Amino acid sequence: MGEVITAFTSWPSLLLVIFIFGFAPGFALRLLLKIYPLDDPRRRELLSELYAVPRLERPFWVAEQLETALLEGIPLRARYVKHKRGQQQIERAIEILRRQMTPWSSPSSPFSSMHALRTQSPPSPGLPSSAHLPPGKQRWQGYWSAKCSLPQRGSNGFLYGWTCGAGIPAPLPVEPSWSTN
Amino acid sequence: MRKTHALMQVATELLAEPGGKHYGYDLAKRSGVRSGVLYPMLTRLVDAGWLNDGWEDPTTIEQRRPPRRYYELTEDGTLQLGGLIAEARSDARFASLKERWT
Repeated sequence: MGEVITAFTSWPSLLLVIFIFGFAPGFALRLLLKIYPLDDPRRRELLSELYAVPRLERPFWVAEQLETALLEGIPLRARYVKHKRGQQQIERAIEILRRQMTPWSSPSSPFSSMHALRTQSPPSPGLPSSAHLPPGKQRWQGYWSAKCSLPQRGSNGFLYGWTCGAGIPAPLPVEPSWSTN
Repeated sequence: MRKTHALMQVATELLAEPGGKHYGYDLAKRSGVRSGVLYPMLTRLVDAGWLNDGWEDPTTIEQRRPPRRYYELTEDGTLQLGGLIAEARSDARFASLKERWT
């Protein structure tokens, strides 16, 4: 234990600490702020506060922020990582479900009737474009295609529908491309 | 909210200028509360709705520095913190703070 303390209090260590906190307090603070999650306002706040601190006090103030970052930043970061992991699991689950729900994955699949709908001929002229579909089935168009991309995440964190390749019916509200209108 | 010395010190400074904008470093200096205690406390006060936070308008800054985050007392915050200080005045635990309140 004594050796560890000696190592920490040795001259090179002391000089390193003086150099980091004394000559590059902004750099040291930016490193400390990495503990906070990316979108946390404390990152910007502490960085802007640094400019309000007199130059001579800055090394001490930055060293003090170590306490703030450890006490506040680590729990926030842990919560952020947990939340993000949960989101990734949900996305993975949705992707697995989407793959399982493709109508041609199994002949006994409950969506095999949709496969039949997908392959049948377009409606006769004069009929509405959705006339070939049973009522309420239009919503499932997005599930028909294996060439659809993954669901997209919006800026508000919600998952939105996926986009589909050319010539493949897209999810609602887009009508099939061979509409009779 | 738990009544602590730090909270009372910060509340005193906030109520000294109830309509003003307060900055973290400035508040820490005036109240004498360490930033390791002050910043988490400010977050709790904002979450409780006692403080509003915002960012300084960059167009009003004369020096070259990033905009600072400010805190303002809400009406509820003024009432609640005022109540806490009133209670603390008669509490022997906070006798050391009486100088600030005179």
